[in-house]
Amino acid sequence: MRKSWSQLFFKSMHNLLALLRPSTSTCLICGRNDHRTVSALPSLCSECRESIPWISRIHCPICGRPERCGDCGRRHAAAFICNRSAVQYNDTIRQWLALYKYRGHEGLEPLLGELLLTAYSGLLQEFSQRSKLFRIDAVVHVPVSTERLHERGFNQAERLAAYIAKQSGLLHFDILRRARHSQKQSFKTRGERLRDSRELFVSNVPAILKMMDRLFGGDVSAMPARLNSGESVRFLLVDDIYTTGSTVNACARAVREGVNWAGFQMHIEIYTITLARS
Amino acid sequence: MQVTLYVLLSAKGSRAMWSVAPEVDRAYWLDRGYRNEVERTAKRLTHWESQSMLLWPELLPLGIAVAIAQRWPDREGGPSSERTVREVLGRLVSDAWGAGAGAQSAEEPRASTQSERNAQKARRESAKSERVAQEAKRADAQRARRADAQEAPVARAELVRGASERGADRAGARALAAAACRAAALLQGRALLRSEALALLAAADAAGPAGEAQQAAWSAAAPALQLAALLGQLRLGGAVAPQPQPPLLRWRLALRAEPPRQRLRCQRCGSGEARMRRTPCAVCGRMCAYCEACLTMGRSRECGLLILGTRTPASSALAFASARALTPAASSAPAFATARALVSAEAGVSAFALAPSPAAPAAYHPAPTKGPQDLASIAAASDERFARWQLSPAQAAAAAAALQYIAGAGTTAGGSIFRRVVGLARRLPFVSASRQASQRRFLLWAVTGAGKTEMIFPLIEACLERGGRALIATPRRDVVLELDPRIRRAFPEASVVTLYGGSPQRWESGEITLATTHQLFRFRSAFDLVVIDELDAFPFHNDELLHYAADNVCAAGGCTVLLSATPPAELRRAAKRGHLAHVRVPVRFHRHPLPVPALIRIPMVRQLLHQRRLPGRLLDALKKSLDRGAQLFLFVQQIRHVEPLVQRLRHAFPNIAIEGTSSKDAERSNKVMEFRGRSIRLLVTTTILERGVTVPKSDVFILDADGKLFDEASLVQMAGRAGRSKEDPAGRVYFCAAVYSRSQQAAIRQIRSMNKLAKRSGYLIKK
Repeated sequence: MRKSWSQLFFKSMHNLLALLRPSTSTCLICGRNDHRTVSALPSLCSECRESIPWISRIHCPICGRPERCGDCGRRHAAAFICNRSAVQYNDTIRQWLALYKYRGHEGLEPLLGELLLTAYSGLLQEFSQRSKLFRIDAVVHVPVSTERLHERGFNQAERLAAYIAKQSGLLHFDILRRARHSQKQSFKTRGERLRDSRELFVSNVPAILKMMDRLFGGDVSAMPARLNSGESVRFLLVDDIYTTGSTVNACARAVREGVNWAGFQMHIEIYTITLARS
Repeated sequence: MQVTLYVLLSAKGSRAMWSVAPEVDRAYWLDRGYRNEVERTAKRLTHWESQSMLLWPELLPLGIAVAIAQRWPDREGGPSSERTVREVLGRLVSDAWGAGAGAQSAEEPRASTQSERNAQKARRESAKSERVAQEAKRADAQRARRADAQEAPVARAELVRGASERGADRAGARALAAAACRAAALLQGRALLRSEALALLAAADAAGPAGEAQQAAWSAAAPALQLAALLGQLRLGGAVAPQPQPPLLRWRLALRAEPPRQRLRCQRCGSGEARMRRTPCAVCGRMCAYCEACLTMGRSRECGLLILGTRTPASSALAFASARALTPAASSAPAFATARALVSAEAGVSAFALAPSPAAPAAYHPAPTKGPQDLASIAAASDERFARWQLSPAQAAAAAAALQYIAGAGTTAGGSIFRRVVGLARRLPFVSASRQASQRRFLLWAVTGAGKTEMIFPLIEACLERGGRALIATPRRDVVLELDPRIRRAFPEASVVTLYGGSPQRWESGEITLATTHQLFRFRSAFDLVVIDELDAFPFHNDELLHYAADNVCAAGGCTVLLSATPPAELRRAAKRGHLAHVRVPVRFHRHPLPVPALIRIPMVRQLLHQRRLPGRLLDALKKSLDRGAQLFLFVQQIRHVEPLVQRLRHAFPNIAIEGTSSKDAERSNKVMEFRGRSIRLLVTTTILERGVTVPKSDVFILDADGKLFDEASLVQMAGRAGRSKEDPAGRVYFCAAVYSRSQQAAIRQIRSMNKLAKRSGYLIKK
């Protein structure tokens, strides 16, 4: 009881102090002042908020594209169940991502994370309708090479994955490595991407063992029981952009192989969420 | 990035330093033969005698190493025995890591699953005591870990003793010294991040403009840069670094108090804690701050290197002379030419500072308020100098006054005591050191259409004659692009470098540099003459960072000339009080008075658009202007008013070509061209065309002149669009508003007073 009173007190104090605060906020992107405050994406001005090209209707059930999709038909076997993206990759999003990734404006992280979170909640909603028991066990991200990491100082996919994990109370693991340093994906054609990204990722077996330990509470014997019930282990793979799907596909394959290598024979489902679908 | 930390020990004391290429430091400090060789090549002597060197066994984040080197007890009083040095070093390193680690652990608890949370909830009631125990255990472990972290490396720290003869690679030393001198010469006057410096060096290495320079590897450039830093030709530092402790507060450290929280400052753009963002950094492995303010110029980070080309005449001039002797093969490279230009500039500085110009008459009073007669006499004295530029009497007088101020070594009399006080105050912790109080500044206040650019030509000429480097900076990129051909035409034999975002000449340096004000972040103490054009224009106006950059690019003994038609109130006040040397140019180049605005009383535009007809008074005035064959500017405040107003006007004047434009208009430059070419007769626009546009035979209508977006300066600027050509010097200007506001009054007063001054000085053409 006492706790709820003190909570109430702090909440009301917070609201009272909010009256003193200026109601204008500076837009994170364009730096303009906006008077209107809204609950959704409060860091943006109304103009920037309206410029977000949300994907509201999904056309391709596999890659989450809003229009007809030729790629998914051409793929023989996808290692992931499906991809869902939050927004379309247009000029606005290209600029925002460039600001974040190349300029290093890490202040955009919560904003982009928030966008990605809508993709996750969409995914969750969609699959919960199919199965009541649907839930994600672990979040993993697409890795970057050490060179790139040192150049940028951060891995955008890792940060976004961490944001998703934190906001939705999931566990986040770093289990993938990039085997070699490849040219930037954005400079390559579709064929090159598909060829190049095969075997580009390997999984880190000790990290997988540690992850399994953490996931099943150190009780590996409890695992078969859960697996026998027909339930599978579900991973959420996070990246910033989905173009041909070759990167996430290779990563998903690496996760599968890694888990098998580590000696776990179980049914794995990998779902991916990406910020933008180009 | 990560660097090596080390402590030098000698009989006198100790000194902590860090290095990006520790093998160079080791040879330099401990091998006397190597050092002699290097210093002979670079013509420089150091007086530090070290006997041994304690190397920290691990690479440390740059931020930590910089902080430790800065906090190391003073050179003389520093500990000199190995035991105390180890002790102090261990303590400082663990302190620095501790501060970082604390921030990180707050960030760490990333996620907890639903199940875990439930479990915790269940546990919470039953096992409170258990949790307390757990926490204690964790704290213990952490303490132990930290103790490990501080004990182990100190014990492992290697002590290297010096040796006079080690048979070092003499040729290698000489080559490295030459490379260091060359790099230092190329980087003189610059403030560059690591990647930028590498790009500059690579661009200098690439033979010819066609060679797309391969980014040189850092490992190849690091030894040369480190040696140059050891020789005092460059300064290496963190791009974001703690403010040095003011001397007044050092006693607290001496008393072994908790070190105060370090306040970070971006060493490139000067912004403080408020613009720092701390994020976990993959490069240095801890929470590391970066500066959000100057992000557009590349990210300046706590663990990022900033290379400052300090300009100390003794070192670089001699150094490069020897480098030239050593590497004759390099003489064909373009870099060599730039470096030579730098050396000659070096020679120029001293001449610049010591000898007053022979052209300057002796009877110069530093007092800034000068009678116009006085100026006219000066102009007469230096007539032959200005003949080449074909200046009007008013222009010549102003240029002469500026020239004289630049040549006279002293600062203004009124400012000296004030400045001394400020200089003292700057050492206190609470006074911002962003403005260099000792700087020499000169305000050239010239009315719109006075021909400001022509007036700075003689200044640039004088600067180049003395072998100095000149900079013309302006906030707007289009102004830079427009100035470029004019400057090249005026100074065909000088090397001109034009810098803006994405400029192909980015890494070149020349005698005359034209740049947008943002590019100034990449220079430090580089120019002897700095001209800042349109200093009251966006984005320069009200931007502390750009002011900081502009203050820092002027070399010691150099001078900053500020150009404006409408200086901000602060500068006008300083000029009036005699703190700022200045000269006013009250007349246009064609020697006709400025058109004085007339008033038309009409309602606000917002209301106009609801009425059926535009008011007759406005239509009459518009018709009269159109009938006399003028081009009409019609300024409005809001972008959303442009289109409806264009519709209304087209309706009222069906036979006239009427267009509207604003910052959101992609066709903007086309429309302005058509307006100049008279295929558009009336252009409705926002303040984007308030300055920098010259259209012959134009009249100006300012609607909503009482609105808050139009202040005195912008009203004067807009009024200045009229009557700019010799053929039609008496253009018409109308303030159309419901109210005769204070800024309108001030603008009219300013225009009238300039006209009066022009008349009194006899600059106007007699009718």
